[in-house]
Amino acid sequence: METKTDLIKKGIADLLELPRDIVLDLPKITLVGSLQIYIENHRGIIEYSTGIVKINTKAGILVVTGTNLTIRTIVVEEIIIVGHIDRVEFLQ
Amino acid sequence: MLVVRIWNYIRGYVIIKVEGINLERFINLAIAKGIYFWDIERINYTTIRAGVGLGGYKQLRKIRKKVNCRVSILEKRGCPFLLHRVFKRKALLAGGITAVLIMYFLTSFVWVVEVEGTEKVSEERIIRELESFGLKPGAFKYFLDTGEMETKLLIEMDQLVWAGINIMGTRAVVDVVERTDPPALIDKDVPCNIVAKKDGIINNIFVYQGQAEVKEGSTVKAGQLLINGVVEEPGGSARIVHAMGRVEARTWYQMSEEQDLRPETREPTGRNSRRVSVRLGKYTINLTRKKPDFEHFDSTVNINRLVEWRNISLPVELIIENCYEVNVIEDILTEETAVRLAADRIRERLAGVLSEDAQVVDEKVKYYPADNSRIRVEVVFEALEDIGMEERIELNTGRIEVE
Repeated sequence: METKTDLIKKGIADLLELPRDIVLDLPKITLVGSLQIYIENHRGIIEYSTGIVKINTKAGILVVTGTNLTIRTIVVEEIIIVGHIDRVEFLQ
Repeated sequence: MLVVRIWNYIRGYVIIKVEGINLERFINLAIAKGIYFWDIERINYTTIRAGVGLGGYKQLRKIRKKVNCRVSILEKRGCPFLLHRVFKRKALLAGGITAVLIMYFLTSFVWVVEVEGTEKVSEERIIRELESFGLKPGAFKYFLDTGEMETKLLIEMDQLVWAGINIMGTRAVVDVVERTDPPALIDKDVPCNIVAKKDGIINNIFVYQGQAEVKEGSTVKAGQLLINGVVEEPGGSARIVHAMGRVEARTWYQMSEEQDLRPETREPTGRNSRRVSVRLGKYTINLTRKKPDFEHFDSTVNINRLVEWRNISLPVELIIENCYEVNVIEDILTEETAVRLAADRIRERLAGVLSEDAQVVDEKVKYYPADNSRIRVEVVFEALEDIGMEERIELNTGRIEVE
């Protein structure tokens, strides 16, 4: 999935020690225990139910599974999901 | 996040229920349009619940058509709806306004009159006087001329030397200062004794009327009988008179003072600077950064409180500190001058204590170092003064036969 431009960007990021999430436009994901997940820089929501949330990102589809999941906040740049989170994984 | 919540509450928001098949698409479209959702909750496969602002809700209409789903409002929350509901209930609104007006109206009256500072004069008397001027419970406070009342009260009541009327909310607080009368002289035809008002050794005793109980050279204690008003006649009977006389006695006074041997005088140079800080509860925030670059300075501190109402005050204070630069001049005194300075101060103090007709016949100055830089000066004065004091004879003792 990595294109040539991505490789160049990655090289520059390494060279200049820039944060990769900014240069490569990758999502930044923060977990607070198993209570809350905070996803910056997403590309929209694919599926949402109390047991599973699928979020489209540049790095692939992020799948959050758990129980009682609710979307606390959703705006263009960020999503906050709260509930009991069991698993976070990427689907390529 | 709390701030956002409060803001949403003020702006008003709705809890909506969205029913449809592709609800994820609905959410994506909405956020692409900049609509802010929160607390999205899946109820079942075709339904979600979410909170959305009022402006966002209006924008949802277009998306609704595109995605083909049903949006319905479950709850309306926030200030706009609350106000709307209140304004719909005209009677409640009218009642609220009336209540505020009545409160305001009632606080324009004086409801309580309090008197402070009385000891001998009865409070009721002052309250009665004030009532006759118009200051009483139920008086309309904006029509009261407190300054004039203070003057009138002082004219009406001789016992008072000062009166201040403060109207605090619905209370009128009257502060008074009573006149302190000099001790009344006992009338010439009222029987009395003469007793000593302080310790001393009798130097001279002249009796005009009555019977001397002490002799020249005898030591007396305060309160001791000097001239008896009960004069025993030869033959056993007694006569009660108004004792009169002059009892001159030697009395002693001991006083001490401390004197710095290296006193500092602080002379303002005219330069000053100001420091401003704000105190919030326990925290103090300095608004002026720099400390005054004076070596020595005196400062005055002003504390300004925002509002004070009854006992409630906000824990916010504005502190203004004015610093005045001073030159410190250190003076070195010789022991002699130090003793003289202290003794002068002691003499001044004595003059305040001693009665007018007393004369100082002798003084002994002693001094010793108090610590490294101070000296302690003690002066013992010997004075000649009249120590007689009239004291009424109570006639109901039964012991005395009255002619």
